[in-house]
Amino acid sequence: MSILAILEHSGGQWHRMSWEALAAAQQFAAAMGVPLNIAVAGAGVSALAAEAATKNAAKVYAVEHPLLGDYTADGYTAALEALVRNVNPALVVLPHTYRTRDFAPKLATRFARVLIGDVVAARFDGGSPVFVRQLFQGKLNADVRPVGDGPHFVSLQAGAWRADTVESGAAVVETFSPQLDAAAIRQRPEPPFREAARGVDLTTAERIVSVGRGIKEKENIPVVQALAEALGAELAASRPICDAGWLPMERQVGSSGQTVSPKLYLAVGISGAIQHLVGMKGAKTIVAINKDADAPIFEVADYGIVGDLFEVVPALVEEVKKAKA
Amino acid sequence: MQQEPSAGGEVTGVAEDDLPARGLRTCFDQHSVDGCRVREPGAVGRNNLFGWHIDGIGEGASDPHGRRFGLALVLVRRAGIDKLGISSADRALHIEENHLPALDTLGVARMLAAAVAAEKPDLVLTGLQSDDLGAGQTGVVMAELLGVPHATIIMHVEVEGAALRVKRELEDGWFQNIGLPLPAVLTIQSGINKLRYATLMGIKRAKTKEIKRLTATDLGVAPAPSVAVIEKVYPPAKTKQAQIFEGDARSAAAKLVEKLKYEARIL
Repeated sequence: MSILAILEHSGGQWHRMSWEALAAAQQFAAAMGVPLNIAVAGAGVSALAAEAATKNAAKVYAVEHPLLGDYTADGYTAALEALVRNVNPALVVLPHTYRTRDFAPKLATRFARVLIGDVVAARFDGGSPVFVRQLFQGKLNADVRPVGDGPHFVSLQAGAWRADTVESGAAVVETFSPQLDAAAIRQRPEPPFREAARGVDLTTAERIVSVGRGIKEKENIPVVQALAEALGAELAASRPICDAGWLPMERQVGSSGQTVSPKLYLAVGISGAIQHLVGMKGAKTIVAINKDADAPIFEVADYGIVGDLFEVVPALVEEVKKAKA
Repeated sequence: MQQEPSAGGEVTGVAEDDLPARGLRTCFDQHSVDGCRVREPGAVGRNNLFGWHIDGIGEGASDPHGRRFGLALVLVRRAGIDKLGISSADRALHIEENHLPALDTLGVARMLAAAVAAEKPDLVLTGLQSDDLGAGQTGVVMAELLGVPHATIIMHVEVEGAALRVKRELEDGWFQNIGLPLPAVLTIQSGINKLRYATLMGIKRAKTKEIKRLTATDLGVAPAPSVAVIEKVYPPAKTKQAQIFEGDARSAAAKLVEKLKYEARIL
């Protein structure tokens, strides 16, 4: 019995959520009373493996193969399947990143298991884990218990565990060289790119007014624009607004947009889907205006007004102007 | 967000009557409330799983008008089937199983994979994740069960000979193009196209389409016990208590501004 934490990196850089996953895996290992091992997969990962070995774990597996240089779902799945069969962990812990979402369900299927994904908390009944997932965009939580023999697979939501709680230690690095067949890797990845130079850098904005589906129509955007101007804030949006083309993609906040931590984040007509919350919950002061008192955005808000934004926002513009006068 | 057919039409531990009271809409409700919005041929619908015969490979699958769906496969948990989805497809398969809510993602994907395998599609498209369970893995698991390659979180699709070149969304505003051979499974991200509402004609036309009804027995899939069991569903504990300002818009706005100015000190 052991736990295996699979850490993510690209281009020699760690994914920031790798350390959150490792912190969680260390806590799980302590709660279950089993050793923790770490896996780092790629081509030429010895430096990364050495860095991971400064953390509290038994072993770090450097999963090395030239075909793992560029991430592919087929390559990663084959390599990690071989490792998991070799190590036989009770639990495999991953950060819930876009990459994990791409290969981990496939990996779990090889073991007739499912990925218990986007987990926000865990508890242990006599050493056996129960994982908490969010349902209905965070309106409900569910306790999910893995049943039967391991390996079980869990991926952990961004920000659910703290990276700065990772314990230091001295692990042994072991190179694991899987047999990979180039012909069996069917994806042909090209280099990542950005659409265009970003015109708006929301990450440095001190104040952000963000608009969501509650705005109803593109023609209503000036309602929140006026509030942004009154506050001297940048205008941002949740994904559906940018999908619809009402505001440019570069103004999107959330897991697929920008991650912001302004002094003031004012969410107008945003329900607070988890994909949005992960992009803004680090803001110092969060204000939510929404007509649904049960909207998840109020869970992270410091101040809230439950009401019709088309009444509240113009009133707020006037009050802000008064306060600044 | 795009949706995948997800396990569990009902939420264990929450009486169905409680759902509307919490302001929740299941995917099924969304069908009836919004109408399942299905796009131009060449794109993907909400909450549905489409297998897509590409006829005349090389014509360019990204052309939104030149092609037709060969097949729509729709999974709906209770009664009813998405008429709007069918209106732009030639025919539909409806998997009807009473024990669907007890299945995990793997169990659902096994049934879908069995149904899809029999159709031998060149391309299978699914949503990225559902609004209810949000597992976000049915498409990937199905690809593995079918033995075909997959790519996830796709924003654009081009056909290049007998292969695809797809644009995959990465984190923090990055993208990546990936080539993969057909047949393949893609999970589609929202924003790939504009959803459209069904026309009255489309709804009428849907009634003439063939809907093949299948059960797990028809598909030869033995229900396997779930390997990840939902034990309990409950509202999350509040970690932060927001100060909510009541009253009419004007007085609530005034109270908020006062707090922002004197308590949070950010005005």
